[in-house]
Amino acid sequence: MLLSDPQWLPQLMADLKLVMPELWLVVTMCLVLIVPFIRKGNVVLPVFVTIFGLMMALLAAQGVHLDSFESLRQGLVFSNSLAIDPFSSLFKTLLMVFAILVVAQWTIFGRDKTHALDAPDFLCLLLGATFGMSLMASANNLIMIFIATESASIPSYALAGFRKKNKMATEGSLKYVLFGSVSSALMLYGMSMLYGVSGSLQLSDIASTINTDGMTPLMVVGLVGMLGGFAFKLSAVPMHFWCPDVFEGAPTEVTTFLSVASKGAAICMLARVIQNLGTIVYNEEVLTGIALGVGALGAVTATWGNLVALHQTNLKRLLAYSSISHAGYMIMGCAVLLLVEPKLILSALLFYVLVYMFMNLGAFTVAAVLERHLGTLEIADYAGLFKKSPALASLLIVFMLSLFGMPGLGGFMGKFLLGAGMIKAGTIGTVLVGILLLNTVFSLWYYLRPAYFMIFVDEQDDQSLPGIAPLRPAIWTILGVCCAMLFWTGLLPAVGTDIAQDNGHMIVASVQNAQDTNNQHTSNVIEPIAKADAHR
Amino acid sequence: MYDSLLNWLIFTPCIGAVLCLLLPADKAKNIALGTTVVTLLMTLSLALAFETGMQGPQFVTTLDWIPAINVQYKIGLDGLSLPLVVLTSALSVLVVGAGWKIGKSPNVFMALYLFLMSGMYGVFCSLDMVLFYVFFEISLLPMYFLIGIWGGPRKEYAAIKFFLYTLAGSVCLLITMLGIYNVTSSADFINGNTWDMMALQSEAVQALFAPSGEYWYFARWAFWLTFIAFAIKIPVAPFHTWLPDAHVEAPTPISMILAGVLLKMGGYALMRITYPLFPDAASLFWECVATIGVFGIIYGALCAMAQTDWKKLVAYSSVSHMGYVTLGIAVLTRTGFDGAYYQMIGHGITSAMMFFLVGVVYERAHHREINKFGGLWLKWPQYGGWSMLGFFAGMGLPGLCGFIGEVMVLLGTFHAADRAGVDPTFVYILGSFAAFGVVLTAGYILWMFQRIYMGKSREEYEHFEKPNAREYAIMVTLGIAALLFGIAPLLVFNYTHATFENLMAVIGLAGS
Repeated sequence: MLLSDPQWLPQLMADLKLVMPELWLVVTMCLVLIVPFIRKGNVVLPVFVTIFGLMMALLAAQGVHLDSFESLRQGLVFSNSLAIDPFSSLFKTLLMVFAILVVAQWTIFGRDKTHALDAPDFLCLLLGATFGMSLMASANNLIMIFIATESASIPSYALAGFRKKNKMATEGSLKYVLFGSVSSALMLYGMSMLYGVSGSLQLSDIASTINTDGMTPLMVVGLVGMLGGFAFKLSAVPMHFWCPDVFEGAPTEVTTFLSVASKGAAICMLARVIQNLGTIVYNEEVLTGIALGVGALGAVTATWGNLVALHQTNLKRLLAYSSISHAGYMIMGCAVLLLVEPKLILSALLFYVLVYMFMNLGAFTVAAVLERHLGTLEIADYAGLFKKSPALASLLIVFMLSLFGMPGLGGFMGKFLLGAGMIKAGTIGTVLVGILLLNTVFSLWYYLRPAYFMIFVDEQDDQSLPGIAPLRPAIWTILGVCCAMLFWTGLLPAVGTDIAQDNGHMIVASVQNAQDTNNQHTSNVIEPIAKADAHR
Repeated sequence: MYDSLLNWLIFTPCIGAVLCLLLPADKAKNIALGTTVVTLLMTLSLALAFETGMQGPQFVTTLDWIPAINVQYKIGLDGLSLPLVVLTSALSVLVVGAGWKIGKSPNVFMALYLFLMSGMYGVFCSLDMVLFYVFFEISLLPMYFLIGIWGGPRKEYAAIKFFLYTLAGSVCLLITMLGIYNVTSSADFINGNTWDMMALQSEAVQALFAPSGEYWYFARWAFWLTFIAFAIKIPVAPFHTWLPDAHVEAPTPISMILAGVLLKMGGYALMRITYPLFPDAASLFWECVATIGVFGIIYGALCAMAQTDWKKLVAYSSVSHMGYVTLGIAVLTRTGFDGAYYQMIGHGITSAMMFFLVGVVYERAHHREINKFGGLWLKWPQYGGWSMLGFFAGMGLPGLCGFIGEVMVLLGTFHAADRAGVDPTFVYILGSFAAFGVVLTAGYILWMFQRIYMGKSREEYEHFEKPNAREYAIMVTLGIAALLFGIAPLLVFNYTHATFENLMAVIGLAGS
């Protein structure tokens, strides 16, 4: 059908232009795998190729400028399976920046022989996961959602078990695979229901079916199943059990990457699904129901993550549970997307991801340094650390306080903007904001735990810490950048919020039901509803 | 020029703090002293340039901070904030003096303290709610570390308790702020939303929060949420339990600033945010709030009477004295407001002095058991004399600064009987209980004074060295201030007069 259209070639070329970031990633993946044939055992070359590829992908993502209504229409590519819009473009930009930082972190920390030999494999897997996440941000129909999720997950499984001889890594990886496959099955099952009910793979068509047929039980089962799959990627309760084990076992770079990128991408995907429903479905009861369901998921996730984090004594596990609760906050934000002007929430989410990226990168980098130099991740072992290396301890405290949401640091602004968006959603929104803030209060207890041990508790005589050897300047640079970004987004957030606001819209296109459009090409009957503002 | 001076006032301590951390540790005390003296001079020049007749804020700076949601960086001084800023600056110099002998890492101590100062100035100068909130919460963090690192045996517990309690309060404030954002951005007549405290007091917004308005339900919730937020800070009796712990564990200079200025943030914020924004809710619930205030007065005094720990006694006396602030605001009369405000200034002086007096002895005796002391007067007659001045000012002896606030609050309370729709019997009962608090205060202060200063001189304190010149300088300064503000209340009322006039108009009590 596509080929019978005389316009197919120009159309294809136009579409390809918009997926340039992904294309660059694929090309780089291939290049990285070729590199060992040229120079074996070299780290610099594959790293250089990877960073170059990511840079190009970043520029490509930046180059996608779709601001007018007309050009937004063109953002739907490959028969609507991908939606390239300002929201996804900004997310992709952030993703590439983050991937570059993670590659830098990985390069700095490893210096042994196996590290060099593994470089191409590792980088290829990382690029593959990035590719999947980039697709997740744009995925606009069921098939693409599934493909994107899988292509993000499968390299992640391998990455999680990358420390081959480490028992914990293997355990974490296996857990990850098992949870991942179960949730994929769940997601596919839900999707098959949705397809069965609506007869279409397009999110917008599924939403229209809700309008015509109402919330049938099958539809509910389908949506819940799909949400279950998302919950796995978001490490939302009850699909979160993999998260702490994987985070503890995986190399720290991988942990950093998974904690931010994979959750961010899943949030984008969730936001897109919800945005489609919110724009097209007009039955207020259905919308409220969905908002309640997703909001409950977020609230339970945030609360559970925080409650369990209170008991953690291991820094990485503590950060894992903290990331679960942050995912919960973002899910709560997504939940009210149905009920308010989406721009507020979308831009708040983008800003949140931006800040979250730097605070987690910073916190995990410090964790990696501590693990490497002190050989322990038990927080209680850090007693008296502040005296020995005040700078490192202070940085960890800054990252922790930002994760907690201390005003003056980016984490607060993220929560504040999210709260400002959520409060507009009437009672549901107010309750969710209440839950968010309540969580913030008791999360303070564990976010201050490292500070407590490092500063207040004096070192025991019998087990004195080996001092921390001077760190390489590159590590200080990464930490400094993260810290500076947190202060910048916390004290002068205007630039960040403006960028987030400019990009805070998502394209939603409704394709009319197939029976009405038999004689027309699918790609020509797009009826974009760029924003839902019109009827709210 | 004065506009930028106010900005400098807020951020100069930050600069000093960074210097303290960067330069060698032994220079820190001098840097801190220098910084506080500079800020004091800045404050005084602002006070001289302040036009006392103006109702609105002066030296205003307005900048866009987060344009996406219309948050502004807006600061300024008015009659409500200026005296407290002066109090902060003046106490800061003394606090640095009191912390001169701090043993463990003096540079970090001074740096944290200077950061705290920035936070305090920020709270008193902010005219935008988000900015206010940011400073309000930022000031918690240095306090947490100051108590947690330099505190007594149970310092960690006290520090985290302080932080969590106050944080719970600020979260209530944050919810209200988000609610206000929601209200103002959905109201049609305002161009976009606003967080500007002055704009929120405008009639247009007030009409929404009135009983006939669209958001009356919200206003009632918001009143209580903000009240709780600030009540924790003041602290009002049921929410006060963090205070004795924090005070007992905190080192002397930190106790001074905690009681002297940080508690005032609560009272200030009630007058700045809760009452002008939700006056109708305030007058609906006034009996309840006033009862809470009176309960605080009596309860704090009774607790103080039962203490055997000297510092805890002073801490509970703060609960009792700050109860007058709550009561004075709650009764919604001009005299009550004036009295509550004066009580804050007076208590700022006396509580700092009382904590310092305790600290001087504690540094030498290393315990604070009231019953183990005795005869201090014979040992150090001079110190005894200044102690008498300090504690009697705290007690509210006429002619000293504690008296004016208390008496005006009591008068204000009885005036409330004249307000329309107020049951006079209730007012009289309320006033009588509050007045009874004065008797209790005299009771515990005199009893404490008798046990510690009177009687025979004890042998174990024979070897005590006398308070040195530095300590006397602090005592004398505070003592003179206590006397000065006891006989010349116009020093404060000159500045507050015009602003309070406006405040009464906003609250709708112009006549009373």
